[in-house]
Amino acid sequence: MSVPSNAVILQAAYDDLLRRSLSKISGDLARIIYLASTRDYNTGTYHHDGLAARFRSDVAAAALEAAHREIFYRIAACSLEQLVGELEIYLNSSHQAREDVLHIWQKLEPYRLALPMDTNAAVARLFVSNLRLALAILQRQAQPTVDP
Amino acid sequence: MIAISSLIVGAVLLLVLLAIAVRGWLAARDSADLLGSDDEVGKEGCPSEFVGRIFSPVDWRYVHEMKSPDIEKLFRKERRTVALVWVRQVSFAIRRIMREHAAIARQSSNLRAATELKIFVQFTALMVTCGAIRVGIDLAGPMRIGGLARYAHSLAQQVARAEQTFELAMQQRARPVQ
Repeated sequence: MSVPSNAVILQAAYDDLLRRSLSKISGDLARIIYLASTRDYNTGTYHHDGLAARFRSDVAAAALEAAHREIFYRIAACSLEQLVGELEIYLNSSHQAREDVLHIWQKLEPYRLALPMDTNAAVARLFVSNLRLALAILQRQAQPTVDP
Repeated sequence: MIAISSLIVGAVLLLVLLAIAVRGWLAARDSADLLGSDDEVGKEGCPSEFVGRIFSPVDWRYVHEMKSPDIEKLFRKERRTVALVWVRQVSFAIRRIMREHAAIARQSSNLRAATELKIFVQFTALMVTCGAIRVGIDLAGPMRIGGLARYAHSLAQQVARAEQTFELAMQQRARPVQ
């Protein structure tokens, strides 16, 4: 009987992550926030108890990192209009008041923590910049229009 | 009379060029703090699809349709910053490639003049293009100079490939004959 290669195990862990966790989260923005939250702030390594129990912890970490990078590049490649749509999905699925989330996101820019390690500087900047714009657009849409 | 008016036109043109040069220099200085070091720039190249996205007019059309001067202003500011980061990244990367090339070339005893000239011409064209993009970003905005950015991106890839080929050739020549 042949032993599966590292690449095969990693792919299995990745598929497991998509099937059990990420598919249950609505929208790529919520997915990237979730994946970034599995990363240790001090060490930069990813942890997921369930995935590590089914596979090894290093395999789980690699699968989480791969998924994080993939979703990051998918969001960064979105047009501004698509990103506004993604942000809408995120706000609608959030349990907090929409205007509060918009306000906090504009003030604290928590999405900066969602950047994967060692990404291209221009792409990282595009991601942050587009989110800033998407927030401003939704903020403007939320404001009541004043009749002349 | 004609001589005086020519002189005035010349002086005005000179001032305009000077203003453009100063703006370009200030823009380059502004984007300097957005990137850390040469190392940070070189970790991962900017994929082609993102070059298209940074300089795409699609987002601008979307923002323009909103008819909000504030959003338009924010968009111009944000996209200009991203575009300048990208230009700086290309300039850094290409200068690093040339430094590495010069270091290898100094140790080599059998350089090919045609290859060296080709690399030098590509390098010069790229640096001039990066300068033109910087000015273009300031004068017209990133969304109107997408073609120039794509040209610079493909030229940078050509220079990187030529340098890889050169390095491989030098390594093969340096190997002892068995």
